[in-house]
Amino acid sequence: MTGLATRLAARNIARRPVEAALVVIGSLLGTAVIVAAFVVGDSFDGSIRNIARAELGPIDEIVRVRASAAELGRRVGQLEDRLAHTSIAHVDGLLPAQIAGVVLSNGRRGDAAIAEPNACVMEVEPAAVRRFGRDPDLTGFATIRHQPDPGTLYVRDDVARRLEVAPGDSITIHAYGTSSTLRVARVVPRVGVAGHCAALVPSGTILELDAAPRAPTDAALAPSGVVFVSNDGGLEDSARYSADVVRQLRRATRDFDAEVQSAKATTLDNAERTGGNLRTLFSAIGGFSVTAGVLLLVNLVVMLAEERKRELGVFRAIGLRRAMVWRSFCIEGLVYAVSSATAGLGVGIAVGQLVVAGANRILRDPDDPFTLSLTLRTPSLLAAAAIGAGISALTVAATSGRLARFNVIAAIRDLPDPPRPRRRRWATVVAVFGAVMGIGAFAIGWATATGWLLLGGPVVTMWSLNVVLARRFSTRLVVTTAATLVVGWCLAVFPLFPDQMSRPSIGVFVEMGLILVAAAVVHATHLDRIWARLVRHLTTRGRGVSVHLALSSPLARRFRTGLLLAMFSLVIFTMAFLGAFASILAGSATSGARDISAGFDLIVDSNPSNPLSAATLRARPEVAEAVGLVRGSAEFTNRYQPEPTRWAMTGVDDSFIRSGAPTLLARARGFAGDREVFRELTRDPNAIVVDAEFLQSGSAPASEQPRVGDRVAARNRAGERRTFRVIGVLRSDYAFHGSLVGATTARSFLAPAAVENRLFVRLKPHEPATMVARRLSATFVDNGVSARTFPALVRDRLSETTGFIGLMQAYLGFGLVIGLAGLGVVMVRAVRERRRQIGMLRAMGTSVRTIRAAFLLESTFITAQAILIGLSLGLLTAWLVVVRSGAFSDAAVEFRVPWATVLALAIIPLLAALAATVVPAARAARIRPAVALRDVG
Amino acid sequence: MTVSAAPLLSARGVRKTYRSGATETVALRGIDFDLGAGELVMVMGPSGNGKTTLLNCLSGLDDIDSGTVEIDGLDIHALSDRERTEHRARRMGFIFQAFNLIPVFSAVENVELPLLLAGESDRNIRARAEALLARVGLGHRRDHRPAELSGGEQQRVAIARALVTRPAIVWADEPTGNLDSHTAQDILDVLHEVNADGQALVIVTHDRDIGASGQRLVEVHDGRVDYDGPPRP
Repeated sequence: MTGLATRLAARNIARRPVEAALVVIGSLLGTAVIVAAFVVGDSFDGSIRNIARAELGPIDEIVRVRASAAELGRRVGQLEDRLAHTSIAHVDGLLPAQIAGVVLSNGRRGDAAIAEPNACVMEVEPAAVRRFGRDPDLTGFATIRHQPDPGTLYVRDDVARRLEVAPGDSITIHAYGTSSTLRVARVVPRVGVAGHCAALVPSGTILELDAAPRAPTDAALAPSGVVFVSNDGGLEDSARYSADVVRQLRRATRDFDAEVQSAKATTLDNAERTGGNLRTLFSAIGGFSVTAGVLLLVNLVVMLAEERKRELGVFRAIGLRRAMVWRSFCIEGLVYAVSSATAGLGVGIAVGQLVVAGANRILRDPDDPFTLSLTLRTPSLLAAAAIGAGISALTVAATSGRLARFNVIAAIRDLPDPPRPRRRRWATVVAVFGAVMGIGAFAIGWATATGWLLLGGPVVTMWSLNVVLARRFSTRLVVTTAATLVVGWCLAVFPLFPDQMSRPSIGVFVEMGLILVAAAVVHATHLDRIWARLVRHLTTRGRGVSVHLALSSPLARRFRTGLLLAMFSLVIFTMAFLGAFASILAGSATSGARDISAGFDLIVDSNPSNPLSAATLRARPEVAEAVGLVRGSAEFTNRYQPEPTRWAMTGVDDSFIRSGAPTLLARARGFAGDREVFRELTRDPNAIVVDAEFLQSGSAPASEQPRVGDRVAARNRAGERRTFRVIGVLRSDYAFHGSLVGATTARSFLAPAAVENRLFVRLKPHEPATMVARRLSATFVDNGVSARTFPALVRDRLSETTGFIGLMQAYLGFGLVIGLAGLGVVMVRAVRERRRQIGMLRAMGTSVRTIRAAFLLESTFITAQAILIGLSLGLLTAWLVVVRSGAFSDAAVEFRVPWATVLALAIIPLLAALAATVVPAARAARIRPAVALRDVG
Repeated sequence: MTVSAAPLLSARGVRKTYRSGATETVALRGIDFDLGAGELVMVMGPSGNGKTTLLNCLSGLDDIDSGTVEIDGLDIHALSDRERTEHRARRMGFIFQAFNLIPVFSAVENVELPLLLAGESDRNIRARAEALLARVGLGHRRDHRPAELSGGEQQRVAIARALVTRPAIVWADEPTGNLDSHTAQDILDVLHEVNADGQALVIVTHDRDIGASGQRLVEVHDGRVDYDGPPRP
């Protein structure tokens, strides 16, 4: 009997190969979306992992000491000696080196001058490097036999490219207030130890730079002596010993004032986390498109079943069992699923490639050699294709199971199935169970601040109660009332429960989108009476036959229309929401700049090894005031972050708050204003102000935020610990202060790695800030200066986010393609399904034009409703969630309608839907009445 | 019923061949046919011998290979598709064995559709459709969709739809083929009433009794008219 089911399935596929291909095309897009999400995640993961190969090689941990260059050799020697004579498990190599942070420039003038503002140079012995670790190829020194000759350097290939230099050209090193020009002797690849710094310099270069005379105020970040540590194992698996080795190294260097960094494990963890996050993000956003694909597939299977209903009825009448009908559908669906998954794999890879290219454009940073490259991993690709095929196969199986339960007589006579007897008791039990579960989910969600439970619980309760209520009242009344309540609940939940719904995960957003759109679609499909009245109004005036024909089918076939509407609305909803979100973010640049500027005009950052002094800036004619901020970093733990996490620390003094202060989101009791909080920092060595994202990385739960009164434990490079009390939380930290303490505290706690390399500058009246910023950056290129106005800084910080949102929208555009492909497929099948009707209409005198217009109007009607639902809900949700609840941003944001997005979303889908319907409409118009009427079903 | 001398429809030498790949099937082999206004003509013949093709070609639903079909003095096959369609909407009604109602329209919407297509600007379109439904005994079922009606009721709706524009010719292809004998007789009675009102009626049927109930019988065999005259006893 399975053979019969297979034959039936094969015959149905072969009978209409073009339509089978359309079904495959319609359903392959879901797989493609999943594959693309996996490709994007793997590409980020792979590209970040590549940093381990390019800049670390065999280096697993770095033990660092800071000292003046004169002391550095001795200190590194002592450190290496200590480590070499301590038994440290899982370590197979030590490599001493000296490193200095520098600015590199190509020494040219004018427009040809190019600088690398945050670079480092390294002195290391090549023979020692080749012995380091197990594989000399991983060090990048396989062919480097000697140190650069005096007066020359080896430059890394990507740096040489950016500085536009080649062997024989000169590069100037700027550090510690002096400069030294060296000739490029060789360009080396960015691999392993050779890739760790921008250039390799001959021994004595750092000492020479540091020894140059300079003003006592020009405190710079001292050079560092490092011992690179290589663990047992290969390039990546050596990182598994890192936690253990770091513990041993810390123990061994306790009295050394040394900092131990787990370099490779941190990079690989970051790769895994970033890759995983992006995979989740793109999968979740792609979830809308996948749902659209599933809805399309259900629609197609329903259409296939309806088309074959009479034939299947006859089969059932002559003895074909129901299970066989289902099996036949499943086999056919499985063929479609496997074919679409295979094709989807290819399309998904192509889409992934486009997303990676887009992300590369967004992430492009002239100071950062990081490049995102396409990474294809067979297990991921197979998993994604299997998920796609599985979703398709399950959808087909579930839909077919429902469809196979048709009434044989009704099928043969082409009548609607008689209503099935309701299993009242079971329905009641399930409804009550659902209602109770919904209430339980809400309670748990409320108590534990779990957004998806809080949001979903009441929705489950409402829909469960529908089953019972529909027995007492009209189904239409019950369903539309429930849909209204659900929409209301979704829109009210964020403002009503701001604490529980703060920092919602992407999953909550997807859940809300699905619920909102489902409820709105239920509403829309129950508006048939209003549409019927409109049609009536049109047709009694002797016009609008095509409107009548166009609207009748979608209004009569509520389920199928609902599927199409939901498919489109979901995608448009998400795109509108993201568009509004991006617009709100872009619009918050002004308020964000106000929050961080503290009344200053410019923020000027310079290289910590060659910092620009406040005094130098004060001497400039356009500058009224320049205030220095001390910067460094420490390892912190707090209430929700038990893992020591390195975070920036910035020291401020009274001059910083002379004419303003950064805006605080919260401040401790007893302070009259934000400025008083900052003043307290200069008095209390244990007071700290932190940013709103403080220590939110790694294992910290995203829902946790710093609070006033929190205790924060800090550990400096020397291992000294101090506990701070949070007296304020910054509203915005686009300047990346990280945490703020008094300048004296920062200097003492972070020494010797605390440097005043950030300046807040107030300009004299009428000085054009943007032009002055540009001028300062160009003038102090040797200091690696980056001078920006505050709005420009905020815009730069936001551009990555808004860029990624744009990328998401483009990715979702793929969902729109699913919707359009679906509409095209559905309209093609509608033409086939209504062939006899069209024949009859033509026989009665309906013109070709009217038939064509009816089909075009039908798709326009569905698309326009979807646009209306998606746009209105998307914008409304953005207003409520982002602006009213502050769940996505603590900054004062202002709602802005993204008119460009709105217009694009209103026009493009409509035009595309018309384009997708042109061919089916033309086919419908070409139907010859005599031929259509000869068909018997 | 009296028949006027000038024919309402005049067909000469109508030939029609169906082609499917290399296979050619000659359906009509040069048929001549006249239809007078108000005439009731029964078309009979074995299955696959050209009855439905004749109806389709004479009504202009299908193209012909050669010959002419004139209705109201107009050669309908010389008209453009648009003109022919408009002509059909004004002058013809159709009834088919499979009813062919628009499933998403209610009974009354199905009936009023030809009025809309004919460009009727009358504000009483709905009233006219309802009146006709009442005449075929379905006034109480006007808001039901076809799927909610029995076969006989669907055919009555189809008849009402064919008559609502008061066409000069009503073409009926096996109008009782899907119905039981009792319902078939009811339908036939309605069709005779229609004819009594002066509308020409061409009915294709297999049923000898129905064939004998007309004023004129045309027998088609192998694409040719074998007999054209009064019903055989």
